Amino acid sequence: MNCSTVPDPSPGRLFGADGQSCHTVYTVCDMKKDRVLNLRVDEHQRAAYERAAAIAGTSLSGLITGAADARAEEILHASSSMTVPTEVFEELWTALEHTSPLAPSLQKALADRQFENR
Amino acid sequence: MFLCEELSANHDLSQFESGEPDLDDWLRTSARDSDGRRITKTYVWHDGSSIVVGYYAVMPFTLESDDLTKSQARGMPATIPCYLLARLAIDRSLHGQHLGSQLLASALERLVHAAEAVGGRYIVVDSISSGAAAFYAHHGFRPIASSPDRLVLSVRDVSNHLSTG
Repeated sequence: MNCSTVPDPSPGRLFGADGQSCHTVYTVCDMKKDRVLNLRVDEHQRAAYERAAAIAGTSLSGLITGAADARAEEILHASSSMTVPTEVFEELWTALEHTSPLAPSLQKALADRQFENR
Repeated sequence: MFLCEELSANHDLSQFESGEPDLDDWLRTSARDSDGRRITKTYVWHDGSSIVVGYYAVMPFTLESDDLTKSQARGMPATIPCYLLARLAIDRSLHGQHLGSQLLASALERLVHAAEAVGGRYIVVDSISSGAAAFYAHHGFRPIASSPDRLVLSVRDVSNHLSTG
């Protein structure tokens, strides 16, 4: 199996370059194509696809699966990403960076300091 | 009030006894050498008489995000800059007075200042006993995923507390 990864819009980051969306990396696998998909189309569609495939220099199957791959990827990407208004994004980011209060014992030690750091 | 300062030739280490021979021996025989080679930085506590009654040693450190829990590793690079609180010990004569917490607070304050200057996400401790692990857990340190004896505290949490307190 030959697998490649669709580039993440923001490698190594949770949020995209637009600063307002979360992304997931998809993996597309170039597996052995041994499954058959029957499609019902009308005469006009078939003619249009055949003409387009000829112009693009690809097979009818290549044309259709190529278009379907792109659309599927788009839909899957949209289903696992979230675009939010800037103010919501800021709140989300703040929540992720939220700090926890210190343990009471440590708070007490810092408050009742009996040392002087030099 | 205890004075905390860098270990120097002027400090008297001869009477220090924490009850953990390894920690006592390291202070007496290795600390100055380790500091001299820039591996650690050792800070000692005394009451003005130069007789050391407590110490801690710190050093730069890194953690791999794969070793952390999901929440500890969130948003972090593969290798995370940290500080190791390598040793911390207080003299027997001061046990039972919550001065261990004070010594820890002294160390954390220094490390937060270091992190403010050069970065660093976590303060790391390797507990040498269940008692030590309980001490650090009591002060908010949390174990990492790959090793229950290694605990971390967020620099940011301490920093925020110090800046708002």
